[in-house]
Amino acid sequence: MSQSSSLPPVDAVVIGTGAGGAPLLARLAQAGLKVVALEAGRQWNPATDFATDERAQAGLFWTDERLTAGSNPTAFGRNNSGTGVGGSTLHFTAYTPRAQPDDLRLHSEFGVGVDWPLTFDDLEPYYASLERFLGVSGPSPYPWGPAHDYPLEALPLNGAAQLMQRGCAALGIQTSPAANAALSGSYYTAGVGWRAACTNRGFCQAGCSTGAKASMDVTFIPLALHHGAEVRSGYFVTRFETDPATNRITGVVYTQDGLEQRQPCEHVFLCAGAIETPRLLLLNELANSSGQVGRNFMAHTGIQVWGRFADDVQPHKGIPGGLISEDTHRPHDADFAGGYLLQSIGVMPVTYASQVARGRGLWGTALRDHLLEYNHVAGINILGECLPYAGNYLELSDELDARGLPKPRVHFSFGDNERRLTAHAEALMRQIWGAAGATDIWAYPRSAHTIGTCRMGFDREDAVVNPDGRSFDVPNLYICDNSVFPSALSVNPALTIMALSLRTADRFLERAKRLES
Amino acid sequence: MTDEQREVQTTLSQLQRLLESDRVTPPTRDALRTRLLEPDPHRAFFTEPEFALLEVVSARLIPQAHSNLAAQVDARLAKGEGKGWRFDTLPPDGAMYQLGLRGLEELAQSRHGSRFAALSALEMDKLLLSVQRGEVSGGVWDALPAARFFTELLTELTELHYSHPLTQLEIGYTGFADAHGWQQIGLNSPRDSELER
Repeated sequence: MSQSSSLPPVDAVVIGTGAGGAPLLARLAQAGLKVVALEAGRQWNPATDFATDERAQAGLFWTDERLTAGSNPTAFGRNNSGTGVGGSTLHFTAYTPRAQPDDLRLHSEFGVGVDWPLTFDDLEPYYASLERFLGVSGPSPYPWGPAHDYPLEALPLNGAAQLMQRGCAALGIQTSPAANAALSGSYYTAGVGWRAACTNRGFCQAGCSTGAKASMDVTFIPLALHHGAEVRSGYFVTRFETDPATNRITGVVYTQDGLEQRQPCEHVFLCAGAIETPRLLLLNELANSSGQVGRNFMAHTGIQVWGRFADDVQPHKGIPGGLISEDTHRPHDADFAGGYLLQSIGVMPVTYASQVARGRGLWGTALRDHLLEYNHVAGINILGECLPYAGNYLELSDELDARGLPKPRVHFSFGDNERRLTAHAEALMRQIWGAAGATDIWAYPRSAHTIGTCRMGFDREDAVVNPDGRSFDVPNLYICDNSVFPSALSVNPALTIMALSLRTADRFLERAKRLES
Repeated sequence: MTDEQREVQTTLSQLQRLLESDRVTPPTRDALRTRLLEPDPHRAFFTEPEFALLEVVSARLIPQAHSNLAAQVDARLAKGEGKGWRFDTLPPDGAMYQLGLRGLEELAQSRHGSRFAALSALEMDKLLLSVQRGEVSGGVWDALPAARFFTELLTELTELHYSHPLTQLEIGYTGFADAHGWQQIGLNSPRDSELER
């Protein structure tokens, strides 16, 4: 081991700068705390670093190898795991629907899964302020859930969105332009400055080079820096030092370029995502008296249905998911708990070709002929509920990575509920594409996002953190990312992660004030 | 020059004009120019017979590739790069490919008493199809899930091929020339008319 040096203490260390870490980093800095964020990935300059080329953008994804197991093993890397200042928001599609109130009460409603230890009313003010701060574009009012408006008008519909609109209209399914955190007009935010409107490059999932997409590196990180936070990139956290008498973390140990450093701190906010967060806790045997660290791994059911159209689609243009429907939030003919939403999907060529290879197994001239129709394909996908199961979990394997740390192994299998929901959705999407005039319709089963593994709850026996995000075991450890979700929600998670992030910061600050007085 | 070569030449000059234009951002130009012009990397991971076999297999899966896909797979493995995940039932990528290639030779021997590379195109394809369908057993295939191996190899070669700008132009994709963004994005919008000025 190389020598370890220690730095002057800080009030809080935030580990990870994605949707979980960046908002609270800014809020803590705003409150006057001395805060340092440690980010494993690098600091990008989107204008000069980001190419409009999928292969060249491979550096945006977390490529330390993870082992995937179970009967529906989930893909990591570019499917759900980013790296760099901004974390997975560097590659997220910027879908920002709000969860609906019943999403948080799955157990009360269906008797399966668990309820959240907080309600929609706890999240609603955060949703509203985030939509203003990020500059979310969307329909006003939004047609599903409690009524609300968006600060910017919806982004224009691309070919895939228009086709889904056509198919859904024929079947009587209501659709709407999506809520998306890319700017439909130039936008000013205090502490951040002006950001320019989206130019419809359609490259959201491999890096926005213009700053129109509200990834954390162009929103909360600049705000945090403005208020005095420090961000150290290329720093990989390996260990926590603790005081056995108080069970508190006293310092965070990380490596940079092979050199070990120690950052003493008063508080730690662990926001490394639903894989690296539990991995780090398991490596350190920390915060796990419940035995729930790594348990309850969930991934959204995310089956896609593709079709070929006579129309010229040019599926690379415009935000990929222009159109949404939440009519399937609680389908009347459902034989499953929960529900899903429908989104149109455009696609970049390498991603599409890769899915054709993996999903249809075409090769030789069959592959070539299929891809010659690239400009005529469009897709729809779902984002659906996934229940927690005892057999779906993350553990440390005995295989070591390049850093000498155990690789995580994630077990994931769909249960009956996911299979029924997926079958319902696939049949409906095939109908929609049929009604829209598609031929050569095919389905690509997949799962999306990494969720659970450090569940939030009221009871220290079966949860890792309390409703404020604070560890039951380690009094100065907070966790905030996808890992604390008790249930998967039938919407894209980013906006809810950010809402929890701001709420966690507020609860922490209120508690600190209470303890002072 | 054959018609096909002439077509590639035309596409190549179209591509080079496009890359030099202000429609392509500097980082995009750098990435695509490098891919277009850089010589194939030297073999550094596979043994010579493994590499030769991979080239033969690659030509069956992706005919008419614009670059040496086997050489790019080899370079990735030599650098120890990966996609960030691996099926728990498969060995690490390099070992998986080596095993699978050995399995293909075993099959060629047991079914035809010949080296894989010496088979006819039809025989090769039949053999590859049985691997893809997981309808193989014995030797290597008792330890290596055949269909998974096939899918991993096919997916990697496909991604490499469709990352090549000439392939992208062939399928009508010019999305990399997006420095000015896109104004018309709906159905049946004029196909990149800006590019033809």
